[in-house]
Order: sequence, then C-alpha cells, then structure tokens
Amino acid sequence: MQSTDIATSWVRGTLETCLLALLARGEAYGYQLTQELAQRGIGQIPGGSLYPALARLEKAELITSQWRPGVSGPGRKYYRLTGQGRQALAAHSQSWREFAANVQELLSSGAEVSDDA
Amino acid sequence: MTPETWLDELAHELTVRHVGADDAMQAVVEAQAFLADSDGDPLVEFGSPGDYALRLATSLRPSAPPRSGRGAKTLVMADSLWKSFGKHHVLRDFSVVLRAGSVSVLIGANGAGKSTLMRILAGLLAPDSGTVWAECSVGYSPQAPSLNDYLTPVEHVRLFGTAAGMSQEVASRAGARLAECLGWDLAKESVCGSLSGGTRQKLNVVLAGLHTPEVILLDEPHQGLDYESSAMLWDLIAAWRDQGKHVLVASHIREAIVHADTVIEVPRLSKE
Repeated sequence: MQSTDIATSWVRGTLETCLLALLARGEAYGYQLTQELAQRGIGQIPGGSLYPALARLEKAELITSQWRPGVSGPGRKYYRLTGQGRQALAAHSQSWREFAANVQELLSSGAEVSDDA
Repeated sequence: MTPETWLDELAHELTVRHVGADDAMQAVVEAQAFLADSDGDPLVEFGSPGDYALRLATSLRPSAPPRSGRGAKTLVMADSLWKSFGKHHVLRDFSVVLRAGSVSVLIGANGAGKSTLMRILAGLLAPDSGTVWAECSVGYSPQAPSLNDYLTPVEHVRLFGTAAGMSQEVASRAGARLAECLGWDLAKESVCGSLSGGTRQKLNVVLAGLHTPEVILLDEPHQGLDYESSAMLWDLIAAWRDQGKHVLVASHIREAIVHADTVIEVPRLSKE
C-alpha cells in the first residue's frame, strides 16, 4: 500500500470528526470545508465523500443546515454544529486522544523496523 | 462529460433511488455550487452520477428502529448444523442467529455451502444434525429461479400468492409494487420462457418478498442484473431491513459486504 493510500484511509476514518471540529469554529459551506481541510494538511476531500458525510451528520442531528441564496450562481447550504454535535465532538476528541496515544506508543516502542523480511 | 450533463444525470439517478424531491434538488444544487467553486471535473470530484447518487441515498436514508443487535428480536436461530453430501462435508457445527431489522451477507467460496445453508434455513433441506428454530414466515429466492417457462410473471405472482394464503388481487398488487421497486413492470411481460436472466432474477426476488415474510433469503440475487437494477435491489433490501425484516443475501462478490450489518462466512471444508 502506498503511503498516500494509507493517509487516504485515515482521512476516511476521521472525516466526520474533522468536519465536526471545523464546524465548531463556525458555520461553513461544503467547498469551504474542503479548502480548510486541505490547508490544514489533512487532505483533499472530493465532493463525493464530503456531502454523504455531511448528510450522515445531519441525519444524526449533529449538524444542521440552512440555504442562502448565492450572489451570483447557485445558492449555498451552510452547515453549523448543534448542541448534540458539540457533545459528540467532545466524545470523539476524547477517544481520538486515547487512540492516537496508543498508536504513538506502539510505534515508538517497536521503533526498530527490520529489513530482513 | 460536462458538469451540466453530469448534474442532469445525478438528478435522474437520485430519483431512481427514491431520494425525495427536496433532498434530490438540494443535492444537485449543492454539487453545482461545489463544482462552480472548485472548477473541478465532476467525475473526479464525485465519481459517476449513479455511484454518487447511491452513496447519497444511503447516507440520507432514515435509520429506522429496530436495528440489529443484541436487543433486536431473534427471528431464526440455527444451532450446530452438520451437513454432508457423501464424503463432502459442507457444514460442520455451523450456528447462526438472524435478528430483526438487519441485513446479513453470506460469503464463502463457490461450493462452500452457502446455497446448502440457505435451503436448510428455508426448510427445504434437512440437516444431518442440528436444529433450525424459526418463529416467523420465511421468503426464499433460490440461486437458480424455479420458474415455469409457460406461465407469465403475473401468473406466477397469483400462484405463489395463493399458496401463501393471499387473494389473487392482493398478491397482484403486492407483486406489482415490489417489481416497481426494481424498476420493472411485470404486467407487460409474456411467458417466463422468453425472459432474460436478469428479469427472471427480479421475478424470483418479487416472489420471495410477496407475502411480506419477516425473513427473506436471497441466494445470489444480483446475478444477471445490470448496474442500475442491482442498485435498486440494494435499496429494496435496505427498505426491508428498515421495516424490521432480516434479509440474508448470499453473494460471491465481496463488495456486497458494504451493504451488510453482519457478514457471515461459510468456511470451505475439505473432503475426508
């Protein structure tokens, strides 16, 4: 597996948590969210992955959305975190910290990687 | 493909997958805004319209209780099943529980015993030992449709419906509704001998679900179906799950597991 493939699978696993974290900073529309994720080095998220993830979060009532007309061109749907979303984000953050610490510990404890294989 | 063509096809694909008009319109406008902002190629950003519509439909679908899990009602319980054909051991101490509101995908190599297990669960084949407990009605769609070449799909629906205790009118209406979910008008067809493999398969699925059983066993139901029909069948399976049924789908295609709440593997046993 290429390293980019691995990074892609990490993003896939954490996308919804990342979206909650971004929306905790303020409302945003889809394309803005992908730009923000790219700028933060998390990855280029295609629209085809983004909107189904947003739909799942909205269905779970962790985020809510509102349409605003576009100045020119199509209108935009702005997403924002709900109270429930804020609680979910806190829970996600906690379990992410534990998970990341465990992975980090594993990686540093078995640091010597053998070339023999 | 131009963004306009792609968006038109997306709108069509969302409708085909029973996404509500409002959700579909919002999804199209949102994709349009995204493409305008990113100046990206729709096929790169979203994939094919059909593929994206399927993913969106899955995300938008309400997750209705009861969901599978320890709390959900047990519909079928098979305990310690053994089955051999001559020296060939097919099932050895195999147990499985099917609960309400769940989709299970049965995987295993060709010849591993998926169809044998299906037939035992359907009550059509006796295990050598072990028990099957089922406190519900079961619908079964065999791998090779057992249809009469000289009867039409409508006649099949009436025949199977009557056998299940339904009136012909009720059976006809239920059959037409299920066929419609698969994008098929069964009333238009002539005798089954003239149907394509995919259409026979659709009839097979319709007959399995006709009497609204609580457990539906589908043995390789996607065989012979084109891409669109196959997606519609997964949607129908998910709708059955949301109605509280258990749908067990045997498939040799590993991608089927993305639709599963539970994956059940039938191990291939060696001859002794």
